Amino acid sequence: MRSGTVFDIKELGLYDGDGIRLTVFLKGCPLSCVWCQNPEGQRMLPEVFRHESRCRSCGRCRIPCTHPDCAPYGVCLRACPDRLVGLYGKVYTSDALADEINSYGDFLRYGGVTFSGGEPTLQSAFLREVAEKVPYPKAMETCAAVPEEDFLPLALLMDDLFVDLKIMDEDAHIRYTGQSNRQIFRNIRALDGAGKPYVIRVPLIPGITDSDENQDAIAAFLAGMHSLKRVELLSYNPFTPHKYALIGRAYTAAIADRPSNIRTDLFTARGIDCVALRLRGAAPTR
Amino acid sequence: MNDRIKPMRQAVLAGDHKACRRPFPVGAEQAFRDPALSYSLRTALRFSAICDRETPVVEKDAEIVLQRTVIAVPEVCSDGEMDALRAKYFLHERGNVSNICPDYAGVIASGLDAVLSSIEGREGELYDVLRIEIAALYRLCDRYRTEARRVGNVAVAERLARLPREGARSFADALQMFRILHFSIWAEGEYHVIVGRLDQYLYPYLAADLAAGVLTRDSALELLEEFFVSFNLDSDLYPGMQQGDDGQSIVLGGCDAEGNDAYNLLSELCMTACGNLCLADPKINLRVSKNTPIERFTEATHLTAKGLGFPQYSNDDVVIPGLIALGYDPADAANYTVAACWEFIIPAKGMEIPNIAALFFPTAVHRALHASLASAPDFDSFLAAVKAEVTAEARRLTDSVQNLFILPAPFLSMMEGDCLQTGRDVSEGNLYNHYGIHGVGLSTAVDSLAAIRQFVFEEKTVSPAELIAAIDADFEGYTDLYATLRYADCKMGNGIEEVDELAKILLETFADSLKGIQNERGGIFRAGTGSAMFYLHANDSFATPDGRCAAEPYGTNYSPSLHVRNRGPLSVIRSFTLPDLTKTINGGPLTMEFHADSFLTEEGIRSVALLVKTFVEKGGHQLQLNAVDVEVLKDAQIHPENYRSLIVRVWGWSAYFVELSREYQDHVIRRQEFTP
Repeated sequence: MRSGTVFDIKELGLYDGDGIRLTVFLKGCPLSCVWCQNPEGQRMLPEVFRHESRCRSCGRCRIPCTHPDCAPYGVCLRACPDRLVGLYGKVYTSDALADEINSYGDFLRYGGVTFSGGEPTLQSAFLREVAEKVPYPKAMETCAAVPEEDFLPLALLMDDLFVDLKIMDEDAHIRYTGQSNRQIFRNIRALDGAGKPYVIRVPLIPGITDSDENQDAIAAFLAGMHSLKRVELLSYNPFTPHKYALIGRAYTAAIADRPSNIRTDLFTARGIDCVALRLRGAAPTR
Repeated sequence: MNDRIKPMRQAVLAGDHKACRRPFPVGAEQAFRDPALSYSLRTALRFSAICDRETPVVEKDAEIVLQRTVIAVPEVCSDGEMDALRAKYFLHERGNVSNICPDYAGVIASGLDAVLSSIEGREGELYDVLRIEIAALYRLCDRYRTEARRVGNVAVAERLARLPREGARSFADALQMFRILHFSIWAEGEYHVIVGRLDQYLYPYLAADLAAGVLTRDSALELLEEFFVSFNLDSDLYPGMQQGDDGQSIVLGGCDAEGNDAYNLLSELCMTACGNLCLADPKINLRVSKNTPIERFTEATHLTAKGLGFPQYSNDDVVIPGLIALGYDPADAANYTVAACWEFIIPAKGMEIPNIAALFFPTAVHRALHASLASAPDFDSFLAAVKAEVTAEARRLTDSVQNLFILPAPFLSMMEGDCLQTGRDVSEGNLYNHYGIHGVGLSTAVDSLAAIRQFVFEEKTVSPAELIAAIDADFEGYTDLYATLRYADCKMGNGIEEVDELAKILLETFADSLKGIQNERGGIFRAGTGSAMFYLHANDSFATPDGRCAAEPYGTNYSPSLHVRNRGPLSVIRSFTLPDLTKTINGGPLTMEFHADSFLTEEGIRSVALLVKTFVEKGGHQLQLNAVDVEVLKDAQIHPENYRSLIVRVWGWSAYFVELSREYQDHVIRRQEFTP
């Protein structure tokens, strides 16, 4: 049986599919978008968080402990009385994660589970095992920046698919996300070729992804697709980048201080169903 | 809402209707305070004094009239006399009948002349004083009719030529008649006068008018909106713990006596009217069941989305069997309604006092902590000691309610049970004379027990002596232990079965402790899950083993502890539907706050609607949801002038946020808020 790493499970997530959703955030992402609101989802391995702002400096977490699960981190994860030190990332076997999901069965029959991240397809084999053990509707939110063999078979197991498409220009994509977008294009074409219905989501980051040119280029790319259900334009809400501090990183994105430029018309002009959504915040911090 | 209703709504929000109010003249109370007179007669004389001093207010375009203009009317007893009564008797709250749902339908249909002729020639004090009161009401309504003629309001003048002497012939008549009766009961001195199943008893009038072409759907809605505005004309004059605690609750939907879905066009129009008006009154309760279609939950969630704090849901699948198990006639149980907050009562057949006392679960834990923790060999022994404390406290409470006296309520009696036939005032008793006891601070007690089990008995990281010392010191000097207890996972609302089982045990112990105990009126005692205002006003104050400090309030009603941040709303529902709630059917809802952004889209509305449906299917008894934005609430504390119409749910009723006292505002702000 395979194991995988999850950094959060959110109850009643909105915009994560139809009805009551349980959203499972899988840890690790091939991209590192500068605007990322879930930086704790980027790295594959569990990582330590610290709420420095509420720390009383009692020093207990620095007293050496003998807990085997604390050993890799050089800090005692159990010592903080205020629960300010802990781990982002919990390792589950596929049975354990499926059991956790299925324990919400009374709710999920009116909705389903949504795999998000991070990037769920990075743990493709694990998730395929989990998906087979969950008898409720399943959805996935993916950036599609993984090899096709990790992407397509898992995607085909889902009832609903939300695929991110951020930037059409390859250089800009590399600059802002750390990766080329070629594989993303290939995967979307493969999905379309397989006749699997999907939704494309475009995060409109002011000054980065929300130019008329980028939105029009995305529309042009999608214009001939057969299985595209609709495009959702997600306007950007400024957030407090406190999660970066929790894992000892700095937030450096230079995002224009203005509302997102929303051009649903560029999509509808090409015959694509397109809606604008306002997303609020990110996964909650524990 | 059309151009006739909009200004009415604006005027009531602006308080324009208060301009015609006059204080009751000093000294005039001597007419009804003569100690030589019976309380009944004094009540009738006071009623007459109010009616005769009222100033008729009729707008030219109004369809429904009658509003209170006389304010600050003295009680029928002097303060000294009231003190003497309190010394001699058990007086509940103000000593008047409260939390009661009359049979409006009968008098609406018959008119008051029919009542007078039915008691003609009959001897008895109730009949004598009723004749006085009805005559006074006729004088007032006649003066309203004169005023209507003067301002050229032909419709009202015509209607008051018949009403309230004759019965209602139309939907508009029925609404006006209700207004007259409701006004009269409040004017008599009773309070928390419940509207009840309006959609059931007024539907025949609506259906007839629609069939006859007298009304269309739109004109019926307009009338209903005007009618609902009228609930806000006097509500600030009525007694309650806080502004908004006025008991004007309507129950919609549910089943009929045969168990069929009774939700009708009028139910639907009531929902629409409330959604259009966005006023604090009347407050909507929606009876639902596992058979309720999802569309109805969606429609109701649209109302929640407006931030009104209602509808409050009650689950027929739990409430009706629960009431039958307590001995209610099945037909009466099926006809239940909701009292001022959430207590389940039977219209027209009860002289029940569903809020006569409150049992504090944390107090039982606190007593056992000091008496038994040190000597308890294991957790089960300690739990047994807590259960014994719950039982002892329940006994103490039932014993404390003796020698009850309630001031008479003749006008109300006319609409209660068989009072009119027997001549007995309803204050002396009715078919159902049960008392209800709230269960306060359940989640605090559960979290405390779970913490004791984990840290004292399982992990043994805290000794009984250390825990007791920390509690007694209000955690002063025990910072680490405080944090360990406070931030532990073992909290009710996290969907952890072993924790939630403790709630089941405490509730069943409470209910079992009341079994077989009769009150002096032949009724029983009912256990409930409500807190009323006691979440802020505990009878004593101490820290609790869940890491809660002495000064911190409890959660409201049947909800997670105030300082706890749970895994999410699904886990909260898992936890709070685990106990068998048919056993604690005095009422008291799970209260959850969702960020207003949760309701921005139809998808969001649908998710919340499905969540409510799941709560019902899982056996929850009662649920109220708040759509809030804490940032908005905080801004409203600073700039109240900008938020005059901002509504929140407090403990069992909705109110204007800026009219609440600070401690109640702060409690709403501190509650756990679920974000999308």
